[in-house]
Amino acid sequence: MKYIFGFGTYTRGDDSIGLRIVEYIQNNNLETNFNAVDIGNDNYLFLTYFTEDVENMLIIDAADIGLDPGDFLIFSPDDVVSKKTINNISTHEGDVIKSIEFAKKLGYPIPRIKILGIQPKNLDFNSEISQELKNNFQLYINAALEEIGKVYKNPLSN
Amino acid sequence: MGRRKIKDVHSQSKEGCQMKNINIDVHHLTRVEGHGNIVVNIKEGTIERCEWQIPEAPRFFEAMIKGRHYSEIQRIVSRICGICAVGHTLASLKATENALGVTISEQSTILRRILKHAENFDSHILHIYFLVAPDLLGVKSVFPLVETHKDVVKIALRLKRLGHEWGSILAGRTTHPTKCIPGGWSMIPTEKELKQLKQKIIDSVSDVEETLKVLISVAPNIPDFTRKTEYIGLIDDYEYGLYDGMIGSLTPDGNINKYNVSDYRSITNEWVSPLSTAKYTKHFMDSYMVGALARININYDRLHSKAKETAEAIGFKTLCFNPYMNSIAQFIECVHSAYITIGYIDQLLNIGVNTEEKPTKPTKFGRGFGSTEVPRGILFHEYEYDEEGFCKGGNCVIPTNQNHANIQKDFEKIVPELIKADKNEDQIELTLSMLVRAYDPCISCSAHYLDVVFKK
Repeated sequence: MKYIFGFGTYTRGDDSIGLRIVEYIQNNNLETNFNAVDIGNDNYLFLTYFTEDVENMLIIDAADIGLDPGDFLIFSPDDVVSKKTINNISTHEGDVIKSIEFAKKLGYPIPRIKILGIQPKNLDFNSEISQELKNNFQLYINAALEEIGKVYKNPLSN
Repeated sequence: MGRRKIKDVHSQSKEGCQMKNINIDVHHLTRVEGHGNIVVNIKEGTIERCEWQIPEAPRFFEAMIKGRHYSEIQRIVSRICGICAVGHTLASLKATENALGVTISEQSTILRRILKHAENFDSHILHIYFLVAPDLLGVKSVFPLVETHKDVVKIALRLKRLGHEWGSILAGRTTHPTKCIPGGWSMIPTEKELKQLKQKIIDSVSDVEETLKVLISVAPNIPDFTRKTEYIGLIDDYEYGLYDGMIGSLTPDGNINKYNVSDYRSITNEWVSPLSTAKYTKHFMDSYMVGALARININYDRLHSKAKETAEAIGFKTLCFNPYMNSIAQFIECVHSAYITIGYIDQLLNIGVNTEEKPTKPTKFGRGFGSTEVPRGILFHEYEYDEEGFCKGGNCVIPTNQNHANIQKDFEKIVPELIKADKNEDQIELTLSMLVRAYDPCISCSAHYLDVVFKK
């Protein structure tokens, strides 16, 4: 199985970008050989997807990665260190990177994971996504579909 | 836990507790959804401050829905909460349908009841395992449990997945459901999907049984505290009060009074406390409690027999006035939800699922009221629509707000008891933190964007 996961919060402006991309994929029946899942902030739900039959995950989320607003980067969780300090995992306290570390500690199988991180501009309550992100929305869709469509060969398999 | 200026200032006086100085400032409490503070100041044995503070900013959802069409309202108010999204959707739909003169079909009603159970199960599992269990197992968060109780964490995650799939099969997704609309459903699950759901629930029985064993093993760590209070929850002639019914008030003498949902303002009697940006509520007494413990106290006889067996195995008896037992009540409700849902699915399969059913149309436009139980307690929505179906105004009273005054009253009773028992500052802080967590408060929502630096 392959999954695209949308993370974020609808009511906090650009933090909703991952959810809106997943919603677009679902509404336009673009799920061909993968499933798109709205995770929101439910990191425990995300953890339940670390199963033997999952080969590829693409996480889409707003990410403060020092780019111009709206620009994006696809990277591996192994490429980064989370700056967040959290005491627990809940819908109000969570972090994708730390959730992946949690899955490793639980001994869950870890598939190939990529993150499509989009630089936010505005995280104000009850705001829409910024114009910069709206302008690039189709680019995000194309990048996500291209990334999840790639075939990865396990170097350990024959 | 966010603590500020905690001082180890216990008096060494022979008078012990009478001379104790304590300064607790938990700012903000962790392992609850949202932000709340615990402030206790005791000087030479005299309590100067003992407060449960809510500092959250208002969110203005009632203003957001003004001028919006009835078809949009449940989607908007669903966003009030990422955990109780189903409950807000259903309370909203019931209020809208009440205002629009809409009666939904039996099939739609049963599907909504199943969806309500899905949300309760999903939320309760999260609360019991990830927010409460660390306290009962003597650790500060779920993280150390990976080392010491890996199998328990895995059970929790499997049950969490079940709760999510339970709701998603019915409503498109559990968080902010898409298929529930005014008049019924935009899409009805197929018989095949319902059979799959039934099998998933049956397959989880062993995990539920393991959870019972875990709870029995940690039950002695639940604080022994009682304070008689009033309990408010739905009373439903059809089943255990959850999706529908009249408002029930249970007073400590065991009397139950019932009220129409349209009279909810006479129950909640909202008022403003300087301790809180959220409104307090009161009815017969200075405060009341809502949530799983209130529901079970009011509706014990309507629980599924398997849930009653679970209650007996843990030693839970009604009337229970210990708020810490709310988490146990939540697990008993999980068992009820699992078995009652299997019964509902069988009922639908026997009737024959009609996937062609269309939503019922409005017959009028006016004022309407809706109530449903969400994991944290009874929820009220009220709207008024103009003759074209646009919202003129609304009112939402959420359960966590209804519990704030009761938490404060619990604080005022338990702190003197803890001082008298000569508990130290850390013990008092932990006991109060556990008390708040037992109520499973869901205080607001926040953002969780990634914040990372590249290694190279």
